[in-house]
Order: sequence, then C-alpha cells, then structure tokens
Amino acid sequence: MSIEVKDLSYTYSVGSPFQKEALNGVSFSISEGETVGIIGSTGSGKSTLVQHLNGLIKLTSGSVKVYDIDLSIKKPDFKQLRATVGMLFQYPEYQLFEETVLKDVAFGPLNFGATKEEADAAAEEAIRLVGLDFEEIKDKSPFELSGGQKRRAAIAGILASKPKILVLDEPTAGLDPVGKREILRLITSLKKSYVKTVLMISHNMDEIGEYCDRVLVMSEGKLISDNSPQNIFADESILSGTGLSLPHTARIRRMLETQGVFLQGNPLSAEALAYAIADALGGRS
Amino acid sequence: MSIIELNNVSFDYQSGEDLSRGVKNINLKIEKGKFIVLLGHNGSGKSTLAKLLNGFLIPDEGDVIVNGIHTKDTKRIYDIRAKVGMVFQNPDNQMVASIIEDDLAFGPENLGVPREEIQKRVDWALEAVNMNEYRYGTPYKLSGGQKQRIAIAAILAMLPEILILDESTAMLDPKGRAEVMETAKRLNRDNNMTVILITHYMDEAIDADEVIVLNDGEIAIQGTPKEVFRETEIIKEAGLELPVSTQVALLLQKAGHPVPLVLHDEELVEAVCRLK
Amino acid sequence: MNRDITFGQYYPADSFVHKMDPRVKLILVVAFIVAVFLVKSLFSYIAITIFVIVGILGSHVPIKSILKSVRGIIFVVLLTAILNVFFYSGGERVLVHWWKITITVESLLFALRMALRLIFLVLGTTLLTLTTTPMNLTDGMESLMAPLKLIRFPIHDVAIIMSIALRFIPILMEEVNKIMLAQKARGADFESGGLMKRARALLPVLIPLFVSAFRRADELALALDARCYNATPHRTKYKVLKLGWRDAAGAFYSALLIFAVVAINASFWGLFGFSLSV
Repeated sequence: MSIEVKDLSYTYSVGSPFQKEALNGVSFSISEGETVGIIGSTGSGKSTLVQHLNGLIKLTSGSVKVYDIDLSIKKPDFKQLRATVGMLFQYPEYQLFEETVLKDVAFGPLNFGATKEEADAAAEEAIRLVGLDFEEIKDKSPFELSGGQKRRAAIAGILASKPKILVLDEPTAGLDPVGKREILRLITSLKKSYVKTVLMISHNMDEIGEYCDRVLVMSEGKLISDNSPQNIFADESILSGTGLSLPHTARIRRMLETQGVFLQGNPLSAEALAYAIADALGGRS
Repeated sequence: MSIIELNNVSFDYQSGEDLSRGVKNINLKIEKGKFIVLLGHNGSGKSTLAKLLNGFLIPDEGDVIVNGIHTKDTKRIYDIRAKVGMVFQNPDNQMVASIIEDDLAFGPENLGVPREEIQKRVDWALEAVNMNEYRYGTPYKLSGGQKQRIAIAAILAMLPEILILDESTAMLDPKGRAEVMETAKRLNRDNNMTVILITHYMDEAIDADEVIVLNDGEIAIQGTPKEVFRETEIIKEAGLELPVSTQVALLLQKAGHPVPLVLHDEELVEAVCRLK
Repeated sequence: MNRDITFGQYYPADSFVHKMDPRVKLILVVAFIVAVFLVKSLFSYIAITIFVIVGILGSHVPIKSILKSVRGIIFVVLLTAILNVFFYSGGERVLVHWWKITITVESLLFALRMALRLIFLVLGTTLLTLTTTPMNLTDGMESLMAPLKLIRFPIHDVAIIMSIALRFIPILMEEVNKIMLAQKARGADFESGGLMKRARALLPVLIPLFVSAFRRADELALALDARCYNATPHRTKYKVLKLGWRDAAGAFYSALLIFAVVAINASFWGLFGFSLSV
C-alpha cells in the first residue's frame, strides 16, 4: 500500500472567528501503480487533503501513512516523506527562483541531502525527462523560458528528487489546449516509466475521465465517492449537490439514453464515444 | 455601421535589438451589438490584438478606428478607453479598492462623473452582474467567478459600448467560467453590448455571432462558428481543440455516418437520434 | 486557504467609533499619541487607560482582536523595558547592584512607563485600523493632506498608492504562504539553523514573491489605464466625508484626555493641594 489515510479530519483556525472545517473523516488507501483523480468544487477540501500527504499540514486527527512513514507519530521524517511524495502545486512556475534552470531543478535533491554532483546528475535526468533541451536551457534563467517551458522546468524540479508518488494540483491550469495535451501526455509517460503512483486534482472532468483509473469525489470536506470514473460518471446521482458536472462524453451518453439510444459501457474519450455511437448505429442499419 | 475598424494593422514588440511578432496585416470590422470570440493559442497574438483595440498599443502600420476616433489620436485616448472597456485575466489584480462599491466607483470618478450619477451607475452595474448583495463587502471572500463579475461591473460603471474580456475565463474553475460566460451573453443580449471575448477554449465560441481564429499574429480564419469549426486542419494548425461533440461528429462522418457538423452536445444527440 | 491575518485589519461592525469621520479619527489618534508622550505621572496612565477602554467599548470590537495586536509586539516591549532597566542612569533607591549594573526603583518605573507607552501607541493605532476601512482611511488622509495641493504634491496619487498597498497586503501574504508550502515540498527548511542560514533559506520565497508582485503590478497598471486613471484633472469623489455629532463628541472627548494628562502632570496646578508626581 503506498498511501493509507484513515479517518482524517482537519479544521482551520480553531477557536477564531475564521474557524472552518476542511476535512471530515476521510479514509482511503491507494496501491502502488494507480492513477487517481481527486475532484471537488473549490473549497471542498481537496487541497487540504493532498497537503497532508506531504506533511505540509500538521496532522491533528486521524492517521496518514505513506509507505512505512507514519505521520501520526511524534516526529515523522518529513524529509524522507517529501522526497517520496513529489508535490506539484498549482501554477508551479511561480516557485522558480534560481539563477539557472539547472540550479533550480537541483534545489530539491540538494535539500534532500544529495551531493552537488548527484543533484546535478538528477537534475539533468529530470530536465531531459520532461522533454526540455538540456544543453540549450541548463544555463538559462528560468524566467527567460516560455510559459509551457517554465511549467516543465517546475515539474522537473519535483522529479529530480525521484519521488515514488507524484501529486499534481491542477497541472494543466492556465495552459492552452496544446500545452494541456503535452502536460497530460508527459504525466502518462512518467507514470509508465518513472513514478509509480499519480494523484491528480483537476477541475476538468474530461481530463479526469480520460486519464485516471480511479476517482475520489470530495464535497464539503467529506469523501463522498471512491470509484472508477466509469461508475462515477455513469449518471448524475453521485455528482449532484457537489457543484461538479459530468464530462461532455458522459453527458452526451446520458442524453442519448433518455432518447432510447443505449451505448456499450461508459466511453470517456471522444474517440471511444464515437466508436460506441457508430456501434449502436451500425447494429441497426 | 461598424463600431471598430482595423485597416491593415501590424504591430511588433521591440525589446532592445529583438523584434517579436505581435500581429500582422489585420483587417477587421466589428459591428455594434455583436458577440465576437477571438480564438488562439498562447502567443498567437490575440491579446496583442485586444490591446490595439483600446489604444494600449498603437499600430506600427495601419489604423485602428473606434467609433470614428483613431487610436493614434492621443488626445482622445480616454474617450476610446471609456468606450472600450477591458477586463483581464486575474480578477485579483484589477481591483483597486477593498470595498466593492468603492472599486466600482473608481472608473467613473476618474472620468469626472458627478456623484449622483456614479451612485446610479454603481447600482446598475451591480445589478447587471447579479452581485447586488455584495455591494458593501470586500473582495477577499468571493469566489473567482464572483470576483471576475465584479471586475466586469467595474468596467460597466464607465458605460462602455464594447466589452473586451481578455482571457478573463482562463484562471477560473468551470463554475466561475460558466458565470462569466453567462454574464457576458446576458449583457450582449439584454443591453446590446458589443462583446469581444478572447479565449483558447473553443467551447466558449459555440454561441458567438462571429469567430476569429488567430495564428502566428495573422487571422487564420473568420466566420460563424459553424463555418470556422468545419475547418479542422486550420483549427489544428492554430493549436486549438474542437468541442467534444464536434470531434465526435467529425469521427462519425469519417466512419461514413451522415452526421452534420454540430457544436452543442444537444445537437449531437439530436443528430444521432435522427439516424436511429 | 483562510488564514487569520487579523493584525490591524478592519473589523466590520456598526458602532459609534466605526461611524466617525476618518479625518476626525486620524486627528484623534495623533492627539492620543501626543497625550501618551506628554504623560509624566503614572496617574496619567489611569486617564489614558480609561480613554482607551471607553474607545474599545465604543467600537464593538472584541477585546481579543485588539489584544492580538499587542501580542505581536510583546517582544519589542519586553526588549525596550529590559534595556531601559539596565541603561537608565540615576535613581537613588538602589535595589540591585552587581558589577557595572545597577537597578533602581526609578529605573524600574521608567521601564514600566516606556513599556506602557508602546502598548498604548499600538492600542490607539490598532483601534483606528480596526474601525476604519482602508479606503476610508486613505480618503481621510487625502482630505487632510489637501492643503499640500498648493505645493503641487500629488495627494490623490499617494492616496491611490496607499489604497492599493492595503488591498494587496492580504493577497501577497497568501502568496507567501503558497510559495513557502511549494518550497517546503521541495525539501526547503525554514525552521532550523542559525540566523544566516534561515535568512538564506528565505531566498526561494522572496524571489518568486517579487517576480509575482511585478507580474501583478503589470496587470494592475493595465487595469488602472483601462479604467481611465488620470483621464481628467477634475476627478470626482463618490464618497464624500461628512462631519457629524459623533465627531464633535469624539473631539471633545480627546480634548478632555489631553487636558486631564496635562492637569495631572501639573498636579492640577496645586488647586487641590496634593502632588500627583510619581
């Protein structure tokens, strides 16, 4: 088991007028190799949840275990935890700060105790991994890069620490369609070759449906569903009241159903949907 | 009569020795009361074009004429800016005051509008974006969509004739995006506001009167949504992505099913049902 | 996420003090500061304390929010108090004498006064910022600075700068928080090591913060232009400040305080035949 969360609750600013319950009795576990999407409207507790996985929020109630690092003990090894769980924040390019891309990417490994040579080697590998031209950009200032390149450099900065688990908070936010596709493709390829487990927060249901094999649905601090995207997007019942909507593909399938056209399975990509519709049409004619 | 006219407009950015392409040879006429969507990937020149429309940028070549006034006419630049209101990407960076009604009053104050009139405009603008109850509140507790609606209201208080939304939906979650889109469509419909929406989401263009696709600083294609969305090669080249229903319709066409080109999910469902 | 950055921030309420004209409140705070510095006798502190308590009661701000601001400077207060105890020269009633250090009753009293002064200064200004919206505050300052227009001082620009600064403080605070989390996730350590190490550890926070502040400033500049900032020298004002009976009452009340402090300092000019100098 790579992540085990049990009965996790968290309240912000206890005892002040701003007191707010962010998580309430959340339990789930994730095995190595899964790609898990986390969905929920703004303020549903998704960010608070994933920040716990990295020890960025102090555990106050419940338990969190990442591999054999138990966060409920008195002094957990945060360095080891953060090296194990790579966490990419929203708009990660806003965290770049070093003089050169190479130095910036090497920041993580150096913090986690690598020597300079080891860190540089890890940085080089990570920069190549995210598809940037190492020779061309290693000595450039990160601020000279284009928007898409910056985001890749930031992802390299996380990968350089060789995390086993990658947590991504809205990895495609603010990118144009081409940039989005590229990042999603990168994540898929990393998943195959480099990191073992991926957790991805996204507001984009189409992305979640297409790229994740399991989805956690958060609403008002509670985990209200934990299932495959096919089941979660099967109809409106699970998402009703969460402020979320079905992906376009699932929506079209539902509307077809009410018109008496039934499709095989629950296709969640445009290609799969077209195929299923063609199948349904072809069966009759 | 067209409210905005661009004649052979080109603009390049210059930093030191380097020139980088902004836009090139743009010819465009925008009619009053239309809902125009300007599409393009990041760096396609769409924001440059927007900034040429209200005199933020002055063309290197060609003319931009708004309501009969040249943007080159620096003396009348504020006449243009008050008529061509512009809302930006990040709502947090557009508010100057910590109380919402004060923020709305900022534009009219700058224009020297009398006090009683400002009061009326603030009332109207808040009403127009459905944010009346937040009048005395602060922006900190608002959602992204609500903040952006306040940013729109702050522009409306100057009584513009044209509303430019420069990637104003890019940073919002789907709910916020829907709120802003709904507000823009309502202003266009009920107040005859000319709206120019700049975005890279094609699904925001499906209800537009006219769609303009920019690529590499030039107009790649222009027309009604159906005319534009049909040109899949040009769309792909411009780095855009068709709405899911259109993609599915095109795939079905390829497979030999006589499905027309559709833009909305509902249209696709209707078309498929007709084939049954 | 929600962080309670309450230090000196506006506390919305519908109270006497809230409804006062910001210009009057500003003048009163200045008067209050003068009074605090005029204080010679410990008895005057009683007058000031009463003044502050009445002010707090009239503001409907919970005492907890106000005390929070004092908690923020408690270190400074203690430090000045200790320094004052050690460096106060003079005093006759010696309590401790060790090596070069002498502590006298007078030095203790002096330190106590300085500490009280600091606390009162913070209480007074906090009460102002808690009961006056930043916008009102800048409007008040703008109006009070109006005579400077004669020497072509750009008052309005200064007011806008202040208003924007106030508006962006919470935004940037949240940004700091986000960047710190992101760097912590990359193994940055802000909590251990000596002073130099900790200062250096802040670079990965400060640089992105500056970059972000400039990016925001760029967009803000466009937004100001889009809203025709500086379009005309005949700018109008939506909110006009008006003086009311509350302001008269407040002014009278402060005059009373200053009078009380001065009178106590002078032991009521011997009118009652006792001395109040302690």
